[in-house]
Amino acid sequence: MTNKPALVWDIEIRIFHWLLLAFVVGAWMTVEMGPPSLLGLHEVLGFGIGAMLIFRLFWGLFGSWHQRFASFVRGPVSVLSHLKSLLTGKPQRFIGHNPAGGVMIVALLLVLLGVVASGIATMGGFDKAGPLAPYLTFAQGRQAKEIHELLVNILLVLAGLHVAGVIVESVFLKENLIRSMIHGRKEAHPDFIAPPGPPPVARPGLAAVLASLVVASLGSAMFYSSLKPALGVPMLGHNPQYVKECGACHTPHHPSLLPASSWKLVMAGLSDHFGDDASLTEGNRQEIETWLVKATELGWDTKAGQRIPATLKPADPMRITASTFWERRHRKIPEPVFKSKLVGGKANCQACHVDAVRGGFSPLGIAIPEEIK
Amino acid sequence: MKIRLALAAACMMALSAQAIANPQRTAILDRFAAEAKQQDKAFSAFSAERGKALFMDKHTGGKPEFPACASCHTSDPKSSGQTKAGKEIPPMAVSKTPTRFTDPAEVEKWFGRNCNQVLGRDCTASEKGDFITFLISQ
Repeated sequence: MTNKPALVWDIEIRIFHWLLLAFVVGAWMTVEMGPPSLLGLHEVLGFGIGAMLIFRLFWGLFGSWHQRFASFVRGPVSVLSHLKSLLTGKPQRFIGHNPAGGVMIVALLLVLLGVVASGIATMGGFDKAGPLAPYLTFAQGRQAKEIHELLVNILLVLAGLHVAGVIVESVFLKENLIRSMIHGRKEAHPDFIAPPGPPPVARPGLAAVLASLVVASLGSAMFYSSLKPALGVPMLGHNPQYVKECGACHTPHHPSLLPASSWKLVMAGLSDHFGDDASLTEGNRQEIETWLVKATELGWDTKAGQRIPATLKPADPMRITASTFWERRHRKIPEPVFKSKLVGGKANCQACHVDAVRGGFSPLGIAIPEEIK
Repeated sequence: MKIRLALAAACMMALSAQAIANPQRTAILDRFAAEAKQQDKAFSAFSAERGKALFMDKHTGGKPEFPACASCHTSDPKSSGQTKAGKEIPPMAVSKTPTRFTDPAEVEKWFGRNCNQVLGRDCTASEKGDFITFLISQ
């Protein structure tokens, strides 16, 4: 009964489909399996997915007929009648997306859009980086992170249903739909249900120009926005006395890592400073304490500046490395790493965090040094 | 060629001599010598030997984690040490770190802290002088 195979999925949509899959899988893997520094690649893949979604939007308006939203977005009645036809064993055959598939495409695109948006919001508020860093608080970033993770879980479920749907239809229609997404053709059938109306002509040039314009303007807007100072990350001048005296023995810990009350305790107990005699002349001591207290008063809306002071152990209020947040974040680091010659101790933050002195602690700036043998 | 070489050698010698005979360092040593004489009439001169023993020996009386100067500075004064917190300590030997013992405030601060840590008491002026004399010789 089969006739000449018809080209249904054009080359643009096939490239989009498989590239999107690769980017999504890659983005998922970088976070689930990679070291924290791979978050940078995760973000690049995320922006890439965002750009692809913009292209897909325009291809859904100006692409070839089966790729247009107008051809496959159907109401609930058609969706139900299609699903019923599957149950009766006489499935309706569509050239392009069937109505249920159309719903899935829209759902996948919308959820992905939400994943990208919440990802950029997480990056902005939680990591104080990227285009939204000047606008979002840490608390908002944490909420965005939860939404991001929720949407990713929804996406995984949808992707599973999408694959299941493809397999079900392939079995019912006795046609390998996965291969169709590779070579683009579907076997023609006399009982095909064609989308309504005369198929309009694809306008790849128009779609490309519009998508490029939007990607370029949105991209440059985001680039310039990401150059602005992040919200809640004040400019803090370098205090030479602090760096000289405290930095002589350890990383000059960023003032945001402890509350003023803890800093006062530290500066009052220098003759027994975590077991060391770190006495200063009274003049130096006072100068450094004053600076530390003033620096904390600037208000630090960073991850470390929010989470470490908030999770210090009440019995050990001066020890940054005893905070629940610090412990949780370092639980996967084996003890020998801290004891190695290149690190030397838990207080040597800058051994692994390139931006420790600035109090940044970006996941992108983590590099655990390895002994050269 | 020979002249140039000789000149270069002379310059090097002059430079290294200057590094060793730094006026601030001499002043610090002179002050410790005067103090030592006050504390002990029998004091004649500082000894690099005694300084070496002070630097290398294990002591009791201080904190158990720090029985010797070498605990942090290593037993080779020409190599870098490491603080308990992991920070590198530039070598103690004056030949490696020419600014050693040139700032009276720094000298006071570190003797004050570290004698207390290692020995459990303040160092005497003669001990300080011996220590510096040993490290100048390194």
